[in-house]
Amino acid sequence: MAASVVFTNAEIYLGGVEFTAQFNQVGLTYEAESLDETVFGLATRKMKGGLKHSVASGAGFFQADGGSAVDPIMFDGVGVSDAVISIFPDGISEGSTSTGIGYALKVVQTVFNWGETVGALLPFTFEAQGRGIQA
Amino acid sequence: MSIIRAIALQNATDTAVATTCGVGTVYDLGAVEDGQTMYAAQHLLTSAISGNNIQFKVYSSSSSGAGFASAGETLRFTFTAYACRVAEWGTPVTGAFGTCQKFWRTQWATSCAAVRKALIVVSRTCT
Repeated sequence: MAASVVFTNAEIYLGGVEFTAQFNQVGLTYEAESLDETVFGLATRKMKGGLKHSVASGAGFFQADGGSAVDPIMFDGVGVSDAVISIFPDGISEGSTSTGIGYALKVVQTVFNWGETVGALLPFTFEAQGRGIQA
Repeated sequence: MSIIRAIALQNATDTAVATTCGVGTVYDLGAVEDGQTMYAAQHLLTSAISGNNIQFKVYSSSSSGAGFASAGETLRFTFTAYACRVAEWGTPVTGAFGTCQKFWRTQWATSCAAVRKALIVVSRTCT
């Protein structure tokens, strides 16, 4: 039986910065549109795969001190096309095609939110939409 | 292609690559054949003084280990040389791989002794 993953060892790279130690949530959505090509004479819906889309998202604790903090990088990154993000859900294993692999996509960052009530650790959220990786 | 399942061909995220020119370990990534597309991206995670660049390249071969070069390694990706922290997608390589290209590695060249951390990922996808 394959081993399940305790989600403690994700690694996140956006552009030239590693954000691993600033995130406490990260996720990836990879989906395809389902196109209805049903015609008369069929007894069931006939669906066809359409365009694919991917979204990277995450959250963590706001930091602004230093050039590798989420605030300067993600504030400047909103709306910038063709950023590179790589997310490894359970560490990196160099050369491995199974464990320790990740996911990489070319994105435009669409969301950088922060805010909380008084007395709390200040969190941020992040989202980036895939834009295809063909040259 | 919207996203790749990324294999770390060079993981220098914790320990920087050597400060001179070098080559990475040869890894068997499985058969890459005609009609498939290879993707690659680099994250350069530390910077150097302007002009002191590091440049990564990615090679493939049908043979492994010591025979990698003699077996006819082929340059597949040439990333831009940078001194700054940056990320970049390589130009995808599609089809015409000839013999089955199972073995892949990185090579890097630096123009100074600055310590540079980096991550090079690759992936293959059926077209």
